[in-house]
Amino acid sequence: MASGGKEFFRERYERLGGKIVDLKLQQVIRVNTLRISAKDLIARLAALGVELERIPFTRNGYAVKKSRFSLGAITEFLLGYYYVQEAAAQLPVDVLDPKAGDVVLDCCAAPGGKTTQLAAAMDNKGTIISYELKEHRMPSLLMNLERCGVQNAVVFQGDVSLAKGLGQKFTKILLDAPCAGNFLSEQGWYDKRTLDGIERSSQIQKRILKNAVDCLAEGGELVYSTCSLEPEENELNMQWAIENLPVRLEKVSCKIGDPGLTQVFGQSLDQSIALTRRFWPHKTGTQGFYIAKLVRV
Amino acid sequence: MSFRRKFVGENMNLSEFLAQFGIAEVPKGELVGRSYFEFRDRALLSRRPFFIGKCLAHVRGPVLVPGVDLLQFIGKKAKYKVSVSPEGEWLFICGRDIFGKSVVGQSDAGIGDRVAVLNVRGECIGYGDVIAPLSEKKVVIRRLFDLGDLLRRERRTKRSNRTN
Repeated sequence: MASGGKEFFRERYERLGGKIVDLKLQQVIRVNTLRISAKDLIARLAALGVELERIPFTRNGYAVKKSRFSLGAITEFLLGYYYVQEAAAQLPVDVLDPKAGDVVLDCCAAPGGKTTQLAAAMDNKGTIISYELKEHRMPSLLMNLERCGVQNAVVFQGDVSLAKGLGQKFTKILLDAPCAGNFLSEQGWYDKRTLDGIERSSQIQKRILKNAVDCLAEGGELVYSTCSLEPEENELNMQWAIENLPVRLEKVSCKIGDPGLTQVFGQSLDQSIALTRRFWPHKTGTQGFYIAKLVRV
Repeated sequence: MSFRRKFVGENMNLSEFLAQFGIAEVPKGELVGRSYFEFRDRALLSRRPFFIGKCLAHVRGPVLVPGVDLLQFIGKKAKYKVSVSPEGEWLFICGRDIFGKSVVGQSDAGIGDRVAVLNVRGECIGYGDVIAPLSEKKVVIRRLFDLGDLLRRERRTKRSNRTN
């Protein structure tokens, strides 16, 4: 039996209560409040003929309704006034809700969308300790931190397990895990993904999750997210986490998304997994996404 | 000789870099890896971070290239500045030199002066050398650095990663 291709995933998602839609994702920017206010940026881009519309379920996200040029190369972009970041991808930092003065561990940081968002939420106060394993992803991470005026981050190249050597427990951890992605995030996605690959990815995520939880202080919060719709990378990982790690799940407060699945291909999962949030593109109008919030017990 | 000069050049520090613009006030930057950063907490320095605190500048061969924040500092403090039109700004951040017709304001810069290039909003978008009287229509400022370098730097690295 095939374990990849569009029909395979269509059938799989239907069994989970979802479906495949041909949706063209709108370009979304997040105002970088470290550099400019939303009001000033909107006025400035309007003068260039760029029309923005507020995305109500994000704090600083705006959909680009009209633009005659790419928003990824103009002066306003280069000066770090905004970050091009998909709407659902803006939510994990809002869920973690870091405050000025916090010390936050940021796992798998590149290309820096969420790191720059953390810094903005913290008003550049406190500390973000970021890890990125892949050397080839470091330049884009560093460029984005510099561009967006981040001043409270310390970035290391390596696995997040290295954070254990810091001798410090964190009260807030963001783990935006490397994942298989979703059919809206990449052209030809269906033909590039297989169940084997997804399962391998799930194993990597479990390892990162364990290392991250090792760094979490008692009562501390860890927000786990992926841009995947595959339960192996989401709900099943959470089931594994609550069975094997000293954590419990807490409700993810989001204005969009469905409760996490508690029935996956005939398997009943812990009811607390319904506290997590799953974003089916046909319902949210965003890319596929998943967010869970874990608290160390 | 050229080999030796290259490495002498690599030792250019922040104060030498800023002196080119007539700036004597120097941020307290420290070289970490191949970039200058301004930071207070030294506790994590021994773990060799790639980025720490506020990024000021990067060592590139014999010269320094400024970070976005240091570039704005230069834009405020430089002895010589020119303002360019939106069209000139666009060409400049794409890596082009500046034509006299794009210059909409200046601070008495003459041939040979190193000038901060500002847009009409007063944001520094790079710098260059004046090579002809600014009143002429031809190329009057030779570009040395512009903000678009951020993107070109990233693309260069991606290309080099692909070939490695």
